Amino acid sequence: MPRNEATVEELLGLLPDVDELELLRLRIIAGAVPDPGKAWDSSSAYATVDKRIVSADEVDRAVRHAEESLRAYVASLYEGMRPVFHAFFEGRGDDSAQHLITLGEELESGGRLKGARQIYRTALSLTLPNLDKSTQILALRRMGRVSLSLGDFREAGQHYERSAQLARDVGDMRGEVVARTGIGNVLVWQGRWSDAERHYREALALLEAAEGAQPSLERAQLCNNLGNISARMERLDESEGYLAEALAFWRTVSSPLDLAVCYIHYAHLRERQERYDDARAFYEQSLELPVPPAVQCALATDLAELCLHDGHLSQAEDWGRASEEHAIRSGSAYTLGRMYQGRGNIARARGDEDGFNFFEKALEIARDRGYPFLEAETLRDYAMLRRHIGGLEEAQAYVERSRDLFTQLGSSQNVADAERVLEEIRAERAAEEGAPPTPLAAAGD
Amino acid sequence: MTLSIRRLGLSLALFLSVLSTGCSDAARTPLSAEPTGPSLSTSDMQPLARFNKKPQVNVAWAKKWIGPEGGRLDFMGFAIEVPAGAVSKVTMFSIRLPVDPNGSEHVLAEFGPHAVPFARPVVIELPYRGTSIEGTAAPTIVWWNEGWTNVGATLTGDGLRLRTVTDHFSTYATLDARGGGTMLTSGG
Repeated sequence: MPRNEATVEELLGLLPDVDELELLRLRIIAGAVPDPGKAWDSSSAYATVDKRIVSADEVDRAVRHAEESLRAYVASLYEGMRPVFHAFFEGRGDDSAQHLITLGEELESGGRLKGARQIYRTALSLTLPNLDKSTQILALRRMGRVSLSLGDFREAGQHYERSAQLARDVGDMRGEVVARTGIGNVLVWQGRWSDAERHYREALALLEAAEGAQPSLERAQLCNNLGNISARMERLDESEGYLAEALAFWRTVSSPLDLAVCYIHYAHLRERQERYDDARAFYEQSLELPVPPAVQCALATDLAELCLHDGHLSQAEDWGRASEEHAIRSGSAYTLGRMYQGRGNIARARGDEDGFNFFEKALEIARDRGYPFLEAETLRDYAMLRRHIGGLEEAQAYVERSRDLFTQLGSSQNVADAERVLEEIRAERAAEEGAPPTPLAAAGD
Repeated sequence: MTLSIRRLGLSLALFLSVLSTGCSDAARTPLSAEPTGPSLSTSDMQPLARFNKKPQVNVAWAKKWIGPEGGRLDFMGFAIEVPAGAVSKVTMFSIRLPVDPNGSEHVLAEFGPHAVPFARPVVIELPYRGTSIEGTAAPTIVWWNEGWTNVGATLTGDGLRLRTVTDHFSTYATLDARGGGTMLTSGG
């Protein structure tokens, strides 16, 4: 029977799992609208995109746009390779590597993280025989950065460490500072805040030994990060000081992404100070900046949580949907998965058991696309929802799986946290079954 | 402002007045002396949960000798639950509360003994019902490590307290961990 529309779920079922069709997949998702026939359904607010509908005309447009985008991407990829070969035949091997890094950066900014990592890897191998280590130092940092974005902390940390060592060996102070900042960033994502702070402070000391407290990009980025970490460790006065210094710099030097990060950290700080109107003002300033959709998605997620705190539930849902739109626009399946994890947590915080839809969706993306950290975090958060509704057995299985993933990723703080939660769940299960609880095991065993 | 300057300038001595309670067993060798707490500034304590009704703390310190068989110490809504096998000798466990004019309004306690490793993690509990974080999205327990570090917590079955496990003792408190926000970093 002919039809004019279908759900995203039905349409994605028609798409073979071919990399070149990934753009079409995202375009179809982007063209979907809420099903008006389900508007009455109280659970519609929690429906993930696969329950939305897409018209046949919209699918035609999606195919056309995806094809054009893919052609443009392939053209830029091949265009980006031309100078690589030119430099090679002119005997400038180091320039070949530099061109590859530039190409990788383009892919990375477009959300093609795995492709970017492959390109950086090729660039790195090209630089290994070179006596001038500057490109190798940069390639290692880029490998570190993209690995961090993919949640591969062990690899990210190793590349940043190697980059820092090389930079130190050749007396590249600025290179060492940036690499140490990267090591700190990896540790932040691992939840090892004290260790991260130590690396940031060491990097700051290196800078100060060389040039005093002179403002610089590297110093302001460190202040952004130290402002964040101080606030997370509840040292709010210190955080205020670091962020003020960073903001003064970003107001004189154009770096919209760094400025947005600074504003967002300020917003987080104001939330901790219970100055919610000020927090909202900082978020709104960030929204006006030209930042990648992935950052806009993070912003919308934070704003949704803030609205939730203020009791503005419909606004929270609006921001939740906005985060979904930004995630789709980012063209990055990773960002989409991260957004669903965030929406699942918002639903969980509201006590909405229907939030499991979001966690399931995040898990599906993480597993299909191979994002182990996203999978581990989602499993951990999902387990808390399962535990809350009495599904202790499932909760335990989820936490065990997340612990194993965190272990593989080298995220020691998360492993310890998972062990603690596991002990609690086991004790709760034992109490439910009327059996004496098993002895507590040491965290990290 | 550096931490050291800030803390020198604003340091507020906690744990001023100490009386002891609980049971003790003088026939056994104690493994720990009276705990000594860190000095926390008013800004250090600013994010911590507060009691809705400031408790009248006349007795600031409770102690109990607990041996390898395990045991429990309860004091003013705070508690230590020691599983069997956590310590190899009879050890003095303690809970110490701040009694100065400002500190006692916070859900904050120093747990002892310090520097005694436990063979098995020990459970600690802190008051939740009747505190400023009751009903918030992310109530949690934190410990002082030159900053408050979130160790996570779950509600006790009766909903009165937050509990967590730890393999070391220090100063612990509660707060609402919501507002961490999406993780973003600069540079690197």
